[in-house]
Amino acid sequence: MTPLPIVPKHRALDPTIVHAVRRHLRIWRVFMAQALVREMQFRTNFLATIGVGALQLLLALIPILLLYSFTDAVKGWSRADAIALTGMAQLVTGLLCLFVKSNADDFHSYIQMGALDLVVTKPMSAPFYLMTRLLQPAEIFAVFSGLAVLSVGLAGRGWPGPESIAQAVLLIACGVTMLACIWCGVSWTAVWTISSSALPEVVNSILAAGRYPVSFYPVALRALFVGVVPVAFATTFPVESLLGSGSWWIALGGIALTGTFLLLLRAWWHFAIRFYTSASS
Amino acid sequence: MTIHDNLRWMRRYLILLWNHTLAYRGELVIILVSSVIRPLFGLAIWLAAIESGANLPRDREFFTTYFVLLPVVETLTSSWLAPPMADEIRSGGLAKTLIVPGQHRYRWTIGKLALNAVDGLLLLPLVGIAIVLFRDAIALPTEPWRWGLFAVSMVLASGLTLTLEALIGTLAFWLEDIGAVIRGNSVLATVLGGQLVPLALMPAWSHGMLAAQPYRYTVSFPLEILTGDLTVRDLAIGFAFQAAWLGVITWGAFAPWRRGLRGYTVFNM
Repeated sequence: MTPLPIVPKHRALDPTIVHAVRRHLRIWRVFMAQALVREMQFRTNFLATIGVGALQLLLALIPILLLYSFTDAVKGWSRADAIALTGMAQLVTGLLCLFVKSNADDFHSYIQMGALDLVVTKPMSAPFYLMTRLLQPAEIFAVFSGLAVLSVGLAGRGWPGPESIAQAVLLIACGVTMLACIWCGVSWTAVWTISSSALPEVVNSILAAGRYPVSFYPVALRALFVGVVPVAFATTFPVESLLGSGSWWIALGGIALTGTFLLLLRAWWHFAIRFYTSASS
Repeated sequence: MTIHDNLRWMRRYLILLWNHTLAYRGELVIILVSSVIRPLFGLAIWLAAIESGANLPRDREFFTTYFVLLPVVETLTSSWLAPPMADEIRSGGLAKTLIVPGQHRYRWTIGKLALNAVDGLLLLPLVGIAIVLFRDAIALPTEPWRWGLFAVSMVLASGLTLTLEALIGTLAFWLEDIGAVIRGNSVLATVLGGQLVPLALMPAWSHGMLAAQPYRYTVSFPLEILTGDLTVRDLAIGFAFQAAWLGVITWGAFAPWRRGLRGYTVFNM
């Protein structure tokens, strides 16, 4: 009997994790380029998004200014501190809208149109694709306007040192990642509910809650905003760091919690995809 | 089509929409829970200010009543017309509707009624829980006439939100993407409608301007009737403004609608 010819093994697409990360970063760069091209096609909407972002910030300041017209401090937070927090909330909202919003909002259309079949067969991580495919470049102006208001709030206190800034940046990264995990995780429930167009409502509620210090809320809500829907890590804690009252223990807690959220999101994806029936494709 | 035909069509369409709405009940529950939670966050902020000794122009009772009733008014007057309308215009789906005689005139109103009815039913237990939780701090009016006026203002408010959304939706005849306009309208409605902060807390110099703008009459005005803030004169002026805005915005929505239809061209049908 003639022996079968030895077929050379195909080279793995990503021999190591470093290769995988580099390849996905290259793909992400392509997504960004495509997003810029798309944004330039809809120029009126691009300008309107910038205008609305500015309006949103202005209107977010109204409750703060109103609240502090009746008092000098609430639960230890002065007017300047609260303005800094509004700026931080705007910055975080801008980051989430820039990177996450479109992807989370669009997930249900993959289910309704059966397009998820195509996504799971692509030679890349499906959750990565679903979380990063779309970007909204115009939201970068919301990030800058948030930074400007944050600076105005901090100006009276003197500029924070490098350690405080590093701590704040770390906390923002943790907070935004955790909120992105929640946003995407909730949008993936469309596997069962078919539609998740209600999602922006939920996220807006959470982000609106983050515009105020967590100490303003009753204990139960405080626990919710720290451990379950950790909006405090994205807004209150970074501002506390910049005001000089932060702690590295909180930052370490943020890192641990972010790791947990990422693992939970991964597990959630594997669980949800088991129920995807591809019925619409 | 005769009136009888129209009524029969409306009934069937309403049932169809109810079925459609209930098919997405999971999503509906998420919206409703979110609409109850957000005002409660607002309540927490103002109660924190009161605890910190802030000298507010209204007491704890007012804030609790206002923020517990807010989701009821918001939900029953809400409208989600602009995005599907824009989608139909852009995708060419509107052409299908236009060839059916008469029906497009009522479709949006019936859609809103169907959604509001289901929302209202699902919201009742949530608001009931909130009322029980805050029962010691809520002051609901006992006069039947006040509840009657509240009902009338709710009907007018409901019409106002529908026509505002229709006005925005018609922009899709000329704009590729109206997402930013929808967002802008939502931001304005949140602040100027009293959903974020009761308008009574706004500075005195802004009261005249706030009383004249249309968003007040979508949410704040019905709530003001219940929280007992308004005199008979205020009520008369309020209803006059509410009816006037409804007329102006209805006209404002129909004019561009007719103009848009005249130049409507569908490429992808």
